[in-house]
Amino acid sequence: MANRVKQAFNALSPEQQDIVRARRFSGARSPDEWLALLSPIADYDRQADETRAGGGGFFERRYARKNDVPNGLRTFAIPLLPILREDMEPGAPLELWVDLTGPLVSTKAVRHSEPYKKGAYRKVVDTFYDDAWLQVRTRFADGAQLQFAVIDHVRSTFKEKKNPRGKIKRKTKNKKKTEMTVTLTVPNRLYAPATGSRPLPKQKLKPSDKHTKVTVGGTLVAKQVDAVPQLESLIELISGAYERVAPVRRKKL
Amino acid sequence: MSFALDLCSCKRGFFTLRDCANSAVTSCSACSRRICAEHITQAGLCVECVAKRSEDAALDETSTTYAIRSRQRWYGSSNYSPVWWGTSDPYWNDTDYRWYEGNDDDDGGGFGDS
Ligand SMILES: [Zn+2]
Ligand SMILES: [Zn+2]
Repeated sequence: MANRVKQAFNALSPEQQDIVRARRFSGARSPDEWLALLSPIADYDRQADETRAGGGGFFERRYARKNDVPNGLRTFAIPLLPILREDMEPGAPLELWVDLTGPLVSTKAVRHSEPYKKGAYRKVVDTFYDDAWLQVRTRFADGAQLQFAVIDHVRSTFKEKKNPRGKIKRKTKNKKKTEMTVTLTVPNRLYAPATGSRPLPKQKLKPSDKHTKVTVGGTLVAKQVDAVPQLESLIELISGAYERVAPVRRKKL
Repeated sequence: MSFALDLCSCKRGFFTLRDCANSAVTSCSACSRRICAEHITQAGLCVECVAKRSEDAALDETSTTYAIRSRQRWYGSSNYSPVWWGTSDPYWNDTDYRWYEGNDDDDGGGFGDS
């Protein structure tokens, strides 16, 4: 039987195949160019996910497992593109940095605890990872600069104990929180600080001569390590940033 | 004096709204406004009317119809009031948008043809 997942992979362009293999990419393109590059990868990933969930034969499932694209691309980054495109200044590039290689790699470890004892465990070590897997920067039609980052913070706890028969047991448990930070820098020509905005966990307003810089953010506790936040959480933060300023003139953009 | 251009009546934007700069090619069969090729759907309705009418995605959904549908849903569920940078349109009367209400100093009287 033909391996449909492999066929779908082979139908991707060399650049798209490289993205599936490397699970990371970056660059500055128009939203339409990003959609043309990434949508076929999302379609491939949907097919591979269905196969992995039990659709295909053994070799198809194995191929789909090996060439998986983490869901952050399909459920978060790609649906975001048409939304950002609406507000973007025509011709402005959308800068994307995407890294879907996952948080649990040594280069993303930021610190670890000294070994300590806890209950029956004779050795416990916590390792902390920071994984900024999506960073975006662009310019909107109203002259605003938008920048945001989605950062997974994972605490990985390694535990070791001896059971009553003297056998050593080891396990590792991971806990994840996702932090999102949005910076919106608006021109004072069009906007001034305003009140009456929705409350957000983190907020800062920094006025300067020509611009007002609004920084908002929040952290979500993830149910599983591979959970992807809802796109609405990011849309809520950008909305909250815009609520912290109000228009100071009537104008057609 | 300016010519009355036959421009699209849909609004671009998600967090802020502005006029679509495209020329109109047809009229929406629901709201009768003049609409451009990007903002008309195969069903003959403009994307804004489609977004108001249904929650389900159409089979011919483009990234524009997806964005406008998401926008309509977001305004309805989040209490977000978009900033208004466009020509006024009674079509938007039921949306709680934000605009400058003081004396205008920029466009010589505001929402006319510029
Ligand atoms: Zn219409
Ligand atoms: Zn249009």
